Amino acid sequence: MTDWRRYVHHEHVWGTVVTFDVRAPQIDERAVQEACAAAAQELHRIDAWLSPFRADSEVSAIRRGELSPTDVSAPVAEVLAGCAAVTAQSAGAFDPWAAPGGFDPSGFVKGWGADRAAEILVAHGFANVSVNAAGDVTCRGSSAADNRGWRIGIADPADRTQLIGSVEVRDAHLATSGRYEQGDHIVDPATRSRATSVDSASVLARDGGRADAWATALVVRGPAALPLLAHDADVSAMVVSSGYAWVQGQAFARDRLVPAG
Amino acid sequence: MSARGTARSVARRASGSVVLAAAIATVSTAVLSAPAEAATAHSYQGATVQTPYGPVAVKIRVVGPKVTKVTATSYPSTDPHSRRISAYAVPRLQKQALAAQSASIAGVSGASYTSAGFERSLQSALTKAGLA
Repeated sequence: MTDWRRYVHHEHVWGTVVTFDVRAPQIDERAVQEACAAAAQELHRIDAWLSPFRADSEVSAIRRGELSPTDVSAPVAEVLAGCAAVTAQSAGAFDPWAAPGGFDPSGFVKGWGADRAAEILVAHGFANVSVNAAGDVTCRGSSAADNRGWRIGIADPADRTQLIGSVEVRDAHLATSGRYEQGDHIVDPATRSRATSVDSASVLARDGGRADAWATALVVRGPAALPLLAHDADVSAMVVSSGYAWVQGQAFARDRLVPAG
Repeated sequence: MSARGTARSVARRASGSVVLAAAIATVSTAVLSAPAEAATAHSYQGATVQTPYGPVAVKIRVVGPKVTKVTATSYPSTDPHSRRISAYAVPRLQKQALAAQSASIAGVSGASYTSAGFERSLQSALTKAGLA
């Protein structure tokens, strides 16, 4: 279907793998390598600012009480503001300040960072790219000459080698949180206990940080939190649990998730 | 599996999904005996459950073995407007269903890749399934 070229770069960062996927009718190898190197460098900068696992990060300084949230660098301030907006909209289901061990914005940063990497690739002249940060995917432009968006599959939480469907993503971010490989790693800020009733939650939004954080919030609070998104035209969401998909917004409607033909 | 058996198992899934909504609401056990074969719609009101953010209650609509609608009748939101969310059985896409997908998959959301090896394994599975 596509006669476009494809260039893929895997970057080990954030304790996982981030994949850049560049598509274009023609790809200059040196140019794409430079673009990927710049985007990868940004991912490592983000790690240095925001990783709770690095003692020298601003987030670690905040956790130790050595840095006031009002004195952080501009990118960290952007993350704090983005987190606070989702905390408010989700009625506390996503709350990086309630994480065990102290402030941890990781549930926002993967999506936010994927967006930043994608912007760098675009700025280098590659308008059709995806950045997949361990299953949280930012897409810009098209994946093929058909000029449609990127069709991104959603892994089946019951069997990650299978999909439960796919969504067309264009100039937006698709985040999915759940148990998957890492086990029950999401904690309900309200109860400090592990959220286990939900298998996975997927969120499609223009902004990667919002999508990522909302996916976490929905794993914590379940389908009951979906109505909080009822009037947010920017966000579509799906919660998978006990064999059912609970959806808000059109993107995850069944006939779109599993297109006929 | 007979059609009847399938309907029953789907009905069990339906009740399981209600238990999920469950974190939120304990739904009447009546749903457990929802007629698996009649296509009549039934509605069930869940109990109101207190959460740190306020009371939550849901009502579900069941047609035959399927939950067709979930409505939050009480929700800790100041917004009194649309509270309807919809639900459907999660597709389990086996090969024939995957083959029916209209376009190839350009990536996957949801698998936590802890290693490039895992990603390659997933990609190979997708390739086998005719998706990548």
